[in-house]
Amino acid sequence: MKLLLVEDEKNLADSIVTYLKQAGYVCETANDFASADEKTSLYQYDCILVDITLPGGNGLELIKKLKKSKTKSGIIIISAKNSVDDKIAGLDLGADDYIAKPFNLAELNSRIRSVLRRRNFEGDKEVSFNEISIKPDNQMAFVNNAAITLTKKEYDLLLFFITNKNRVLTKETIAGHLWGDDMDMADSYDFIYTHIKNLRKKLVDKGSGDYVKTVYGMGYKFGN
Amino acid sequence: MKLVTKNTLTYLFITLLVFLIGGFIFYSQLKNIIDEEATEELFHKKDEVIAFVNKTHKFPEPIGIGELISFAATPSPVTSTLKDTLMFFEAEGEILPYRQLIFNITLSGQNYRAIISKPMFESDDLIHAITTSFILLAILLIIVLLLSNFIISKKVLKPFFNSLDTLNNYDIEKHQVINLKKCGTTEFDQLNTAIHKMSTKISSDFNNLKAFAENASHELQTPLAIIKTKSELLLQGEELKNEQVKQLLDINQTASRAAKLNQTLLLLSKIENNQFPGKERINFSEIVGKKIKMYEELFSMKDIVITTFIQDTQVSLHPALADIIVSNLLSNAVKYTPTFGLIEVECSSKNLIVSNTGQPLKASPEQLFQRFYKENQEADSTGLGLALVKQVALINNHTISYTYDGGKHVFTYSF
Repeated sequence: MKLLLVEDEKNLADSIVTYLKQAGYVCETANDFASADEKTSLYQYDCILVDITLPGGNGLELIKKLKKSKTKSGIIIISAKNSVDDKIAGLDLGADDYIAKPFNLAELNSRIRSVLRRRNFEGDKEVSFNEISIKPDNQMAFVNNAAITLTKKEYDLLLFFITNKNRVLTKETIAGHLWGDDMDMADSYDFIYTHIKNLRKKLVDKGSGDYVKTVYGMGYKFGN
Repeated sequence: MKLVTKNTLTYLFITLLVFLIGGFIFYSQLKNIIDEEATEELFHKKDEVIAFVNKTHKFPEPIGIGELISFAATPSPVTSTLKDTLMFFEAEGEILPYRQLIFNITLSGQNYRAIISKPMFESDDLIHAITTSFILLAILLIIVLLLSNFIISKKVLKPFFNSLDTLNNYDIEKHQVINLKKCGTTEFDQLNTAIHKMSTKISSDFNNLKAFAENASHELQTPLAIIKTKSELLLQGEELKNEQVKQLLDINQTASRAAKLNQTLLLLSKIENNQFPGKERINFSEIVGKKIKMYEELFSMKDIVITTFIQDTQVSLHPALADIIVSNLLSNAVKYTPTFGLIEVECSSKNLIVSNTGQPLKASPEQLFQRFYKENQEADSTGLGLALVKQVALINNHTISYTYDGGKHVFTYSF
């Protein structure tokens, strides 16, 4: 999977690239409008992450150009402006998603995966981890090919875990993913526990390994 | 006092003063002329008498009414003198002022003192006549003044009153630029230009401030994003000690909190600046229902029992603002309801009432809606939620009120 990150803030770009490389992507960066324009016209990317405010131009303009050239790349806007108008404008231009700064890297990764899946870049649409597999199209999860019944939240949680496997996910990140930013209350972190407990039980009952590890004081990690 | 009234009164005062002084001058001038005329006449009479005596060698008989001539023998010649005196005037039966000319006249070698007396005009009569005519003049002037002021205020001052009306209806919150028509009166045109300039400045200042607040707020988000992502990366480290994990989590969460605070402040200023224009008919009860569903897990986690009484409610409001009202009132209720507490949500076309059980407030109810007020110094709260609701109410001419009744905090948002 080849990504292009268009972000003028070098420090931020570094962190994002580090995380995404660890997650298995090939990630290139462009730090202004001109170089982003050049790279997108020369190379093909699976997904392009675009900051709206760029030196030498506007990210929305870049999206317009990309769409004009009938690009197949997925487009995610990463913007410091958490503005509804920008969001609507971006999505209207054909961007696939919009994520406001500051964001969690795990959340960004999950959004990229979701865009890639929707754009069918990953060949077969199945997401799997060892004996667990997920068919995002019909929101079904399987253990050793036997379907398991999950609630909406449990399903979202499992997909998020597998997308960010072997990563430490803080309670805040998980809560943000499951309930959105509107509901970031300290109280809400505690009931993540309930959902994780139920998910774990359902997986183990169907004969899956127990992959969810509690990282003391911090959150959870899904992996071997 | 009205400008026209004030003007009229000033004019009147000055006019009356001028009339008074003018009347006095007029009177004394007139009196002088009459006096001189009288004196001249006396001397004229004297010449006539001397001529008569020289010609006929006898004294003339007194002539005319009120004019008296008397002759009296005197041993030595008298010097010619002119004097004023009071004498009884038979015809009018009163004492009147007279002017007398005393002179020497010789007849057959004998010196005589001749006195010619002439009644003077009465000052009283003169003053009376002058005052009457001046009062009549003054009345005429007042009528003309009132009439012209009426016309002035109707016609000449009209553009001024127009400008005044425009200023009265000027809503500083709307930051409009005022454009007033030219009226041809220099001062009013200057005033209108000044008003135009002022409103332009207000509007541009507002726009600059708005842009600055937004830019500053957006610029802050990027460094916060860097802190968050860096700490998130560090958290992935394998060999972290528990203490380090705790520090990193604190850094990460504080960055989130700062970002949230930043966003909420921007939102608050956007609401204050009326940047959510355009109301639309929205199904308010549906929003309430959806939000309650979202918070259901939070309720059950704290074993809170929620009772709802939701009637179908249509409200004319910006959807984003409706969202702010409901979610902030609900999250406030969840935050401050103790475990096993009760929350009641009542929604009708009149109002939205959210009440929850809990200990009485430590602060006064007014403080509750102030920015950054927190009942508990709970780290996770921005202290801006209720301030947001209050601001939304303010710009929509709605009200939000708080009461504590029977162990319940009751928030009533009335449309």
